[in-house]
Formats: sequence, structure tokens, C-alpha cells
Amino acid sequence: MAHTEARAPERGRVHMLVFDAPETTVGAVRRLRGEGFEVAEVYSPFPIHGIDDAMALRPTRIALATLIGGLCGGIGKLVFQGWVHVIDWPMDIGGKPDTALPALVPVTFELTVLIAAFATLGTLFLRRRLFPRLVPASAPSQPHPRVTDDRFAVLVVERDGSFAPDRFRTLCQALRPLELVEDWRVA
Amino acid sequence: MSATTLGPRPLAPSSGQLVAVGFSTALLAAGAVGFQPAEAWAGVLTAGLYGVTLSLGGALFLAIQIVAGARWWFPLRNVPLRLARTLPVPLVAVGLALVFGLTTLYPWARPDASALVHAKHAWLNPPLFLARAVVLAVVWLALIGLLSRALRAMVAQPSAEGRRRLVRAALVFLPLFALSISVAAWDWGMSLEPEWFSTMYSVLLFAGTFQGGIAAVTVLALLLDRQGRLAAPLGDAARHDLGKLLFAFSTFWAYVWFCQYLLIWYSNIPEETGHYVTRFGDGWGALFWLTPLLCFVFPFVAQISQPAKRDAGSLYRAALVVLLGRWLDTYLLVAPSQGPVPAVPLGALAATVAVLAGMRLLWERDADAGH
Repeated sequence: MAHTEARAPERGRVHMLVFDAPETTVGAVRRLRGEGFEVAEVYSPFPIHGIDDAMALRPTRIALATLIGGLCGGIGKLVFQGWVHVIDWPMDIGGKPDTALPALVPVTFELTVLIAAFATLGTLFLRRRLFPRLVPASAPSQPHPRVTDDRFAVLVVERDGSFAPDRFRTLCQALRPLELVEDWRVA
Repeated sequence: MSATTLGPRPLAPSSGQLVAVGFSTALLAAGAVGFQPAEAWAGVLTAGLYGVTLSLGGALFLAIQIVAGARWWFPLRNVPLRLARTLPVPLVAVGLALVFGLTTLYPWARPDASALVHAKHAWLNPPLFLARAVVLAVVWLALIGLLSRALRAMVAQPSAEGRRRLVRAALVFLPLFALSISVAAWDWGMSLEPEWFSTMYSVLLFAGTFQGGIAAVTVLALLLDRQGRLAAPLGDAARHDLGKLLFAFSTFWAYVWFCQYLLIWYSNIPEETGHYVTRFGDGWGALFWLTPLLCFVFPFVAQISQPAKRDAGSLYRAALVVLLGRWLDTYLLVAPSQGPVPAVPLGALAATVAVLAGMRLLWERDADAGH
């Protein structure tokens, strides 16, 4: 799912356009934004090439979390293994020296990957507030039952008085969505 | 990519130049055979094996994209296809080395082979060995022909039936490729040291083939893109994908490379350590440790960030370094079994220039034919 700044439309109405191909979806988002309409969110069954550019999303910084997590995991595990094998509990394993580095590589590698993955996922959960709750903070927002399968939904929000309904309808006719739901509401 | 990184010169010199380069290097190689047959044939085998892995790597790239139903690679679809179609040239080099260098290169083919090696006679005997090589060559050429015909038919006239045929060709290619590259690894590489064995060896060549194919496709695609000779210009996203593939499969190669080393280092049994003892001694050590720097450390560090993967210059440099590393890795697969490190690996370099020049001739012929 294309992740955006999920802005719950505080005021104004939301309109949903549904498409059946990633290319037409990207094209529609470009046209809509080009004509001054605000695209609040795009739902898709898989990541679409170029949608972040079309929606003018800020580049994600989650890679930084991955890098920091990976470095912490790798260095931490290397230091820990060094402490175990050299200081705390030296053992003769096959006549190898206590500081035999190759033996430490597999676990260091695994921990690098593991902590990098945890850091990425944890950061995603934190930033998107996706932690499980007892009471849902908001209703599950899936605007169309098939956006997890083969449909692409574009949500356009009426933020203020500059929204021109006539121009919007004309544009929608040109964009030819499979469905156009005006004033869509969370069911 | 800035003009200074690559220069404005067109990709294609005249065929005459190429023939001259090929002929002179072949002459050089032939001369070397007279003086240092082991070094010369090791060079020809290195060059052939290098070309075979690059070219098969192109075919592997192609088949995987087709099976995955990917569309991002369509602008550069001709690159892996033409690369795969250059396979006959390196196959000829391998064939020459196997036929004429057999007793020079392979200890098991000599009458004085040890009892340990003689026990492997059922698999390692000249007629069966050469027959296997012929079968490998025929299978690869046939599969690449099949893929190439199906892809061209599909591009000329897209249809659901054509698409099914293309996917089917790729699905036949993939498992047969994995099997056949393993046989090639055992026969052409591992049997250079017939008393030694490693179950990771064929996986290592598989990983190297994949990595080399991705690097070669990346370098060629970026060069052609700069000249506007791709089906469509490469976008940021396509470069990013190439960069991700290069990054991921450089890591995969390093993983497998270290796996083989670790297992042998851990158990430290003489019958397994011979391979590495050879590569740590006789001056090979520096080259041996240079390989993971070129094939893994450089692409890993240089390509870890997203902007680096998308930047044509950075991606081009990383892929080029990987291609150098692939050559060194292939050279170290073959040459250390033949003696100490030469001051200048003249035979290997000459043979490599000849093979690459020949591959380029086939490439240009394909390009001239409008494919």
C-alpha cells in the first residue's frame, strides 16, 4: 500500500476514484494534482513505481533506521561474542585461537540482518502508529474491498473553498475511472 | 552520468579493429602455449569460463525477469538477450582449453594420476568429460535460442499465446541452468584439483554467474542508455532496480564464498584445505583477498544508499568493479592449480581480450541485424 501522510479529512468531503491498472492510477494522480486537486491517499495492492513522485511525497528516511539497526546488531553481537570467547568463557574449539574471527561471522551476520529488520519494522510501527490497541483508534480504512487484490483507489479531498466541483467532474470524465464515489465515507 | 566519466565516443569500433585485436591476442596466446603451456591453457580456460558466466548470467537475468512477469526491464530487454547470444565465442575458448589443454590442465587425465583420483575414473575420464562438455554447450545454446526466438516473437507481435510460450521457455531454462552450471563447475573448475572437493563449489559458480550477469547487463545498459540506443531511456526506478540486484547478488556471492571457506576452515581436514592452501601460498594470497574486496566490499559500501543506486555514474563504477572482481575470481578458480602466480598473467589477459572481442563481434552482428 502506498504510504502517505494519512490525513483524516477533518473537514470537507472525500471523493474516491477506482482504477484497475497502476499506470492509469499514476497518470490520474498526476493529472489531479496538476489541476490543483489534493490527493490525500492512494490505495494499491502492491507498491507502484513512480507513485511517490506523482503524489510528491517526501523521500522516506526509514533506510536510516535500517542502517542504524544493522550497525548496532552487527557491532553489538561481535563485541558480545568477543567478550564471551575471550574474557568470560574461553574454550579450546578445534585448537582455534580464542579470537578466531571467521567463527564469529555467521552470528554477526544474522544479528545484523535481524536487528536491521526489527529497527525498520519498529520504526514503521512507531511512525505510523500501527501498534495494536484494545480499542481501534479509528475504523479500519479500506475504501474499496478490492484494493488488496486488483483495484487502485485514489482519494481526493475537498480541503477548502477552492475545490471546483464542476471542473472535478469534467476531469473525472476524462480520467475514466471504473468507479467514481462522490462524498465517500468510511462505512 | 557526466560526459567525463564515459567519454563521448560511440560504442562500436569497426569490425576490422575487432578482428585485429582478436587475431593479435590469439597469436599472443598461441605463442604463450609454446613457452608456458600450463599458464597459457589456464588463461584460455579463464577467459572462456569468464565469458560463459557473463553470457549465461545474461540469459539467467532474462529468464528470471520473464518468469517474474517483470516490466521494469523492458527498456533494456535487448541487453541480456544479446549478451546471452554471445555464448558461442567463450564456448569455443572453453572447448579449445578442454580439448588441447586436457592433459596439461587436468591431473586426472594424466597417466600418473594418484590412486585417490583414479577412484573417480567413472566420472573423470576424457571421453565422458568431453561428451558432457558437448551436451552442456548444446543444451545452453538450444535454450538460449528458444528464449531469444520466443522473446523476439513476443516483441514483434505481443499475444497471450506468445507470452505463454516465452514464460514456458524461461521455465525450462531455469532448472536446467542450475543443473548444468553445477556440472560445468565440477568438470571445468573443481576437477583441476581432482583430489579436492567441496559441495559449495557449484553454488559459488552459480552465484558468481548471477552476479556477473547482473553487472554486465548493468554496464552495457548504462552505456547504451547514454547513447540513446535502448528501446526507451532508463528512468531512476530502472536504475534503482539494477542497483538493488547488483547489491543483493554481490552480497549473495559473498555469503556463498564465505560459506565454503568457513566450513573448510572450521573442520581443518587436510583433504579439504588443499584448495585454500594453494591460494594462500605461492604469491596468490594478495589476489585471493582482493576478490571479496572487488566483488563484495566495494559494491556493498558504494551502493548501499538509494541515491547511489539511482546515480548512473556510481552504478556504472560499481558494476565495472564487480566485473573486474568476477574476472579475478574466475582466474583464481583456474590458475592457482597450475603453479605459482605469474608476474603478469599474459596468457589469461590476452585470451580474455580475444574472447571479449569475439563476443563483441557477435553482439554487433546482432545489433546490425536490428535486434
